[in-house]
Amino acid sequence: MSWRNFLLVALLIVAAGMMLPRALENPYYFFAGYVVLQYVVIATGWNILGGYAGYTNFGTSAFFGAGVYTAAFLIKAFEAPLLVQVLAAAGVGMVLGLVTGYLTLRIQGVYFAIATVALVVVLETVVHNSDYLGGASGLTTIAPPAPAWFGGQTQYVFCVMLVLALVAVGIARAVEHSWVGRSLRAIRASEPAAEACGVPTLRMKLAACAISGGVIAMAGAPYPYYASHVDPLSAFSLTIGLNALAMPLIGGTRSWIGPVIGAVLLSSVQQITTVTISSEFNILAVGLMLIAFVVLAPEGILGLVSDLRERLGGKRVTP
Amino acid sequence: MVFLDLALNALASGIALGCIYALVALGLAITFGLLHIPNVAHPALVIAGAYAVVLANMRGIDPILAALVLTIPFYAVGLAFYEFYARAFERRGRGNTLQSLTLFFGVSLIVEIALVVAFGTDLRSVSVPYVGRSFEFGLIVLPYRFLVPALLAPAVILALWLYMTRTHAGLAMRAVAHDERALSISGHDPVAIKRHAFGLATALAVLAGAALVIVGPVDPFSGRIHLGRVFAVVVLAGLGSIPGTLAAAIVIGVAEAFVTAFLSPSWAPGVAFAILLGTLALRPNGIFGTAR
Amino acid sequence: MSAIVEIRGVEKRFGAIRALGPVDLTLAPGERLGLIGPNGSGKTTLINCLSGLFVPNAGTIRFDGRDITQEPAHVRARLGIARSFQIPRPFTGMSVIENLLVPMDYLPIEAGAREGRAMEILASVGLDGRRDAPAEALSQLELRKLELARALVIEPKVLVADEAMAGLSEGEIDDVLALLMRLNQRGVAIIMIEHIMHAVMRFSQRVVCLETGRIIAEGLPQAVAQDKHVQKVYFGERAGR
Repeated sequence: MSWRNFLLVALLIVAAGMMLPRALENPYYFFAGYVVLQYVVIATGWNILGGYAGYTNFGTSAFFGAGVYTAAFLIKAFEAPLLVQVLAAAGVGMVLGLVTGYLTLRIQGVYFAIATVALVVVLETVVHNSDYLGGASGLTTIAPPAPAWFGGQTQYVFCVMLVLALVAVGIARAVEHSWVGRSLRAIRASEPAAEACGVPTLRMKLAACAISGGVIAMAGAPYPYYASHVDPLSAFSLTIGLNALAMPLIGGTRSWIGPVIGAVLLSSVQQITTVTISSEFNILAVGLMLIAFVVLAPEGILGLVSDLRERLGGKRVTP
Repeated sequence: MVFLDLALNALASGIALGCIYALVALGLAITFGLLHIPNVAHPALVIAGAYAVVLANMRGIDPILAALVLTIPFYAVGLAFYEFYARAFERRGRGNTLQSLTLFFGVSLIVEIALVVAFGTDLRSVSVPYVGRSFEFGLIVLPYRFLVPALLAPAVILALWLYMTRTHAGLAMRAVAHDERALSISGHDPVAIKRHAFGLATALAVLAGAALVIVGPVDPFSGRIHLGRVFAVVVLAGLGSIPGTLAAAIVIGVAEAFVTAFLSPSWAPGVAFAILLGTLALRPNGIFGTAR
Repeated sequence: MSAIVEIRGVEKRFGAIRALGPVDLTLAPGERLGLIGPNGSGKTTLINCLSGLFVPNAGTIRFDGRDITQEPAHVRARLGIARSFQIPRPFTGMSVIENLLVPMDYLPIEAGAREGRAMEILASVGLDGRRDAPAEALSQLELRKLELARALVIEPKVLVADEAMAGLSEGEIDDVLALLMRLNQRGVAIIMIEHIMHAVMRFSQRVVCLETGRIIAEGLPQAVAQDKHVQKVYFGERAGR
């Protein structure tokens, strides 16, 4: 799919999305749909570093939470418009990614993963101890009335998140098809070999950290308006970190399509099970799926599809 | 003087806490420090051990005694766990870090949920005769529920250190960390050694669990706060150093205690992690570690 | 003619173990140098220090007159030091030609000319027929050729071939040797680390033997082969004619 076609499809999707508030009466669709789209952004952002470069971020909720609280801070301090919140959140996420990366990437991949877990606790502790940000009980963030077209706040943020999802996927696609993506894939395959043939591995990894962190934080920016209330428990929730890992892994990490598939699939299933069964069962199911995929189908659904095509067609298609 | 009182008590409880953290980190010091297997499920196993001890304690058995007995089934669990891991990855050749980390992450979730299903989310504790009483020495007042598990830690570490340096099996474990190929050429089976090491680490988990639950009640998710602490200990100590684990853990314990006493308890969880990040930034080989 | 590589007083320690040094070594432009020594003698450590994967604890390394001791590996690659790895490290998940495009992204070659250049290099090692094959599907010999091809993309002045012939059959060894010879004829200096003695002796103009991190013999291949220290190190105390 060329860039022109991609943009065309994206515009069509946005247009269709903008039509939905007029077509669907029940705000629940937008409520649930927001979560699915949010995970598309998170999973896509995670995959830029985790899938393309092979560096696992276990503390995705640190970046998401940073985005949430950046937006909340801007609302409280300046009543800033949503666009500013989104851009600021992305900026904060990028800086956080750069710092974490710089501290740990000169050593080994495992330490990066550990440091990201540390980051979650550090940020959570900071927020807990900040009265301005609401501490443990949180902050109420009532949004200004949404533009009339949308008919409600939920519908509005849904459409915003739709745009963000397309932006995120666009970024991932751009990285993937460029020389940046190629170098990241080389780093994932063999970092010493990449370094030895001229790839500035540290710089590339830091770039991936920054882009990944920025996209993930961006997903958190509309949250204060969506939920009207932010608190550390939900902003830094473990479920986010878990899903950020599971969705690309289950969908497939090699291409931008994988996280989208994983996000849509897993998130929809979770919306159903959390309501009908229980949230513990939810975590159990995701944990089991994670293990099953990691052991049996490490390339995720995309990998399974590719294997199937190979078996039916003959020639292996290089991703 | 109030300051001296606070400081001395912070020091005492910090050292005691540190010893307990060392015990919790010991299993990881073996699997990650020596075998380079990032077993992030270890804290969850420690909590599972704590629950096993709680069960035994409900029948009136002393927690430490129970833990010592439970080391045997936990050792077996460790063996099985390693077999599963090895089959999934190491025998396939290039099992990468992302996949093994994810595997252990998944396992830790399942352990936690299993505990929730079996025991519910309420806090559980043990009852021992010495809870409620304290040891007093000058200005220092240290509750026995801190002191007793804290004494357990150096004892276990000493035993482990003797095992690693004096016995054949222990030396083999350290050798596998250095050069697996050379070891297999000399007639040992590296897989069996690694499996044994994993079993040992899991057996240590139940001892650590007993220590934790004596100090205070646990719930199925208690492992999470300890995850970062435990990695902070192992990284600060330096990979491959067992005695270093105790020193590093004490540093972290004392730092936390001082922050709790002089700042506020709500800053305490961040201390270990801040130390972890600092170590990674400034001295990634830790205090005692060997450079890779 | 000044040396293209000058290694002076280089030492590398891992904790308490001194893996290498101090070592002094020079390489003339276009020279064929053989590097031998038993396992653990420091050969790979030495070339890791040269290519930049390790930073030495002491000593200096100069390349083409420039001090590169502190430079990261990718900078050294751009300057003209290439290496292959003992165990081939192909970029899995990519095709053969994509493997070559990775280093090419960092060269000032026009986008349109890249594929052509990559195909030229593949042809020179005999892999042009496998251009779209996934790296995972290659045989041992093909993997070794890919290692060399990838190293050639950066148009090196020095190529370090780390056991490039291990595990190959006699015919395959001749194949790789011929390849390296052709390369050398174009002016590329080659450091060959090998255990396959007849290959090293045939190929090298000069041989250096390492043992526990120090150079114990240096000179013409025949002379080094007959050196008593070298024979002791390879064959034990009671050998040596």
